[in-house]
Amino acid sequence: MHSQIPHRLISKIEVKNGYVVKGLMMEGVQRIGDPIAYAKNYYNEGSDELILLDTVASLYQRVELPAIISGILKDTFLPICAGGGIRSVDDAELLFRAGADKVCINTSAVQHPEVLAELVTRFGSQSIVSQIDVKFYHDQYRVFTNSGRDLSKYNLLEWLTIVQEQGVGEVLLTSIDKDGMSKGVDLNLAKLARVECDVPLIFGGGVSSSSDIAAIYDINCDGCAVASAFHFGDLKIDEVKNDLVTKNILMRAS
Amino acid sequence: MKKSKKVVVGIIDLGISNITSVANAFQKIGFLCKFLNEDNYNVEVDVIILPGVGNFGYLASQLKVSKLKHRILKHHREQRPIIGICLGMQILFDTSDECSSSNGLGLISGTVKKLSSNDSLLTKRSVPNIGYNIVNAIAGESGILNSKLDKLSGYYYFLHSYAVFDRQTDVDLEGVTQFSDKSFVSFFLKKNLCGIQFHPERSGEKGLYFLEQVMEYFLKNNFENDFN
Repeated sequence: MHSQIPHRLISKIEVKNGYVVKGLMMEGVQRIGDPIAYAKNYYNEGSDELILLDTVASLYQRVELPAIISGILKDTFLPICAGGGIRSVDDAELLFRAGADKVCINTSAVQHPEVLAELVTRFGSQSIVSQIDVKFYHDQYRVFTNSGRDLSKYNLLEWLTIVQEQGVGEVLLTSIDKDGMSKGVDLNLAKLARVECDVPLIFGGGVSSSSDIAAIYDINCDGCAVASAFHFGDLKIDEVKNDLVTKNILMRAS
Repeated sequence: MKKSKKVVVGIIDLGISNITSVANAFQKIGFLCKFLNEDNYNVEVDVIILPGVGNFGYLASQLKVSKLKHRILKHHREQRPIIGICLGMQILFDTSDECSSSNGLGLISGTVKKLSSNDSLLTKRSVPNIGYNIVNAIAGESGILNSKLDKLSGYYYFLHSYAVFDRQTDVDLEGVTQFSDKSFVSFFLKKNLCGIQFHPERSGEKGLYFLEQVMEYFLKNNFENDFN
């Protein structure tokens, strides 16, 4: 019966000072446009979900997404996962009240993993996502914080164990090495994580074609997150979905 | 059906739900929305919406000390429409495995139980159930909305770890959804109560259509007098 359940195709929008931005390997960020307009376009094209990240929030310790979320949700009806700079239940509550369905946490969780359990107790595990940014560094996958700037003390598998013990309901895993490059995905990373991850897994970083997406679904990742290839028009959500359907992959018709 | 006054939807605001997006959806399909909170618990509304994000025990503890609980119970005693969404549906029941020490509203008897997945690793559906899943709409004995079963069935967005597995009796319409090797109740219409496990306000145009039909059911059938 599980064949009834389609994998999710998710658009990811990173925001800095009110603009959609995109970097190469999370660096050298360029301004692209208005996040509300981009989100509406992705909704109309059939995006199954939207991830909205404030890329500098954790650096400046602020949460400034609520206004953008409210703007997006005025006349779009899709699920939103929002994150960037969340340090507490109060920070998360601002995003939920603005309309986020899920929040994702990276930097503050690495500093204090127990914040994840606090969020889970308050909002339920289904709404708490562990955002994990990983770079291949000294022969292992290491977890980075602050949008890929800072090396943490954890490797991927250690950290996956911890966040699941804390009760998160989903993992959003991004390959920093591939992110923004639109040159293909790190399937080894996805495979490694899938085996260790008992909760839904969203994978992204470097998606450049519907074959990349099909390969991610083939590993049984629940969702695939795409940013650059959608922002720059290399891929269009409706066309990708049609293409995947012809490959006998079940997608939600929109 | 007479619609001599604009139907007012009252959304319960306990400070823990994404009430704005629920309001956006009802406004989009043409209803006037008001928020019911501690200070404005007694505002006159036709339909009460109980949205829900979060933990059963937390919502139950908030309701326990709130005037809104009595407002909801009064609305139910008067047999007026109540729609519970996600956790808001679950709280209509007696209890939940998510927090066994807390009681729900008990408007419907039954216990909410945890989802489980027994599939093999590479095909398994993980808990929580996050994403789109198929709702199969099934006719109730009253025959209400029977002609629309096909259009009501289809993909809706789910975001939950707990569900109601026991099928209800005397429903006017219900929906079931398969998760791993079990199926759970994904929505039901029963007299003045509607429970929706998925998020219609997050399920695109199809979700809006679903809400329209639920409201249509309330307006056309049980409650003609209320809206005259």
